[in-house]
Amino acid sequence: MELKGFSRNTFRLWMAIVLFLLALVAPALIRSVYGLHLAIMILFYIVLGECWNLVGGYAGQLSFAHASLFAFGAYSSSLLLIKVGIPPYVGLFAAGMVSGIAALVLGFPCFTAKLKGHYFALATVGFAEVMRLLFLRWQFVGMAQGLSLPPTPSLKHFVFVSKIPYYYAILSFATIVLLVLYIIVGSKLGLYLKAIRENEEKARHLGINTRLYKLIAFFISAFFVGISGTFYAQYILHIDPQSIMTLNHSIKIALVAIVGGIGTLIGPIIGSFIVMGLDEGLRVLFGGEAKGIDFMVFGIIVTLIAIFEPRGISKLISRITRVISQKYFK
Amino acid sequence: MQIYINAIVAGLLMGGVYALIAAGLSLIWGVMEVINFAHGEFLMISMFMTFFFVMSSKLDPLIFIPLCAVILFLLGIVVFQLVVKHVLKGPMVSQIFSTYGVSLFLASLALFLWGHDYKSILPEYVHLKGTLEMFGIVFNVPRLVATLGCMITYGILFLFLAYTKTGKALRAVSQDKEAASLLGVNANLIYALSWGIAAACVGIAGTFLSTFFYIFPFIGAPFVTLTFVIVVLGGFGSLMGSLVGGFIVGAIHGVTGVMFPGYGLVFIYLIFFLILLFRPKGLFGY
Repeated sequence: MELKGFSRNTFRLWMAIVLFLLALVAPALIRSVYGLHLAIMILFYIVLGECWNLVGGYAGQLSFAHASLFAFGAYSSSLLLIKVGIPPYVGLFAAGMVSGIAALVLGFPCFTAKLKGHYFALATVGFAEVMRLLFLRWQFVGMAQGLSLPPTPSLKHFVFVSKIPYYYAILSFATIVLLVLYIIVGSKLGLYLKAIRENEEKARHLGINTRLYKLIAFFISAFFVGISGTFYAQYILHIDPQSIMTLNHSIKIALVAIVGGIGTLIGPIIGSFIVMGLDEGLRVLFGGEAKGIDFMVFGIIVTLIAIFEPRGISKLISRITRVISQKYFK
Repeated sequence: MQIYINAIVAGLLMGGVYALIAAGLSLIWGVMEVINFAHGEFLMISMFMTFFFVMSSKLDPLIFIPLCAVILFLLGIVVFQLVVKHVLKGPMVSQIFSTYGVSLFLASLALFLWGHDYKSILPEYVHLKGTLEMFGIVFNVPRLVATLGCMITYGILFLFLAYTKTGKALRAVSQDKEAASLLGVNANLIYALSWGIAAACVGIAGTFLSTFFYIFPFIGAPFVTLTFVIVVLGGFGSLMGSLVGGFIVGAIHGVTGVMFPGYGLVFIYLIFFLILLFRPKGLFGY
């Protein structure tokens, strides 16, 4: 589609601006507390999905350790707050660094051993399970009960009664993450990662240090995931291994990217709306009496997407718009 | 010392069951390089089937082994035809998430139909029960029966793959699909058959397991992650590897469970991680 003076890129820029403005005024449009909570969680999973996408989508390394990396961030800033009294504004950098370093500790041996495909995915499952089992029994981090943060509202500790401050905090964080990822994807690093995904052997023979670039991607992804861990802990005010460190949570993070469109920036945004919308919508529709129907439908949808549109809903949408534009704008 | 020997024996007695579950996963991988994330849910379905058959007929659970094997065989073929067949040529992501969707569906279906209470078969219906004591070592009879039964099944599977024409065709497809197709083997039929056989193995393991283990909709997940460990340890696609791996993991689980209570699984996953790093093809992989 090439309308006069209206290229694809300007269209995308305008779409991004409109979406951002909509997100800015959204709290005024959403009146209910529940609706605002849903909006916060959608933005939150956009961040997690985008971060997963950098490793899983652009670099092609399926990670099931992202729930663990996320939990490391949540635990670091919460421990700093509870045990030392360091406010989360400082703690979030510690959280990002701890998660980033954990990603390097996991990634370095895996990439040195040239693990890829299913083998890398299984190694991350093993790492995540070890961490979950250790956290469940580690006295210092509260074992299975986890940690509860002091719930008294204060700006200093980033705890509020209203949901509005949380909304704008996560919106600005999501915007930063998206901008950073936009720059990375357009940079040489982004090209290297795509080359690694398409054919790692060839990339290495062309002189790309594949291990280094995979580690950089893993570190950046984990850094932001760690910071979103801090946000989660401050928002929910409680963290425990069984609710955030399970394999299912990692899969949910990956699903956001996969359902929306793996290896695209718009993918996790669409994916988060769909996954969170389905999650909540199906629960409202089928929750209560009939336990399990919501996840039955969810399972069917995941399978159908995997079969019919493995590149995600964003691909489906662009295919539909192409058909429409060819029909009406010729 | 006695306590460690008993722990190893108890672990080894689970080993046969683990091995048979892993055999199915390994078979599917060997034939078409797909990891079946719904494998644990196959086990869960088989356990529930046995439970309801026993409750309604009041017969010994072991009688229902053939029935469960047939039902699971059909389930495996249905899952292959409806789902896996369509993602064989797709990217790895769609292979993983299509079977993950199936696992989510089956577990939630069980939750919907049968609730999340823990169930177990009343001991009065299990006729081979109690414990045996030899040389001061305690054998739990249902577990002993389960492991022996699973090993017999394993033997039959070996014989089938080694000596029957269909078994040879299956091995041929796993070695080279194109060449086997040229020689007149219907690869799609073999794929469907391998899913059926893999699910039937899990079905038999599930029936044996239900004689002494609790049953609930999410029982699949802990078993399937252990099964990944076994398959990686033994080598993807190697049946011998799954057999040995099952017993090794059973023994390690037993011993570490006694030495470091609560941390048994941590060691198993650490070994899993190290094997992946240093010998990703496993003990018997090629």
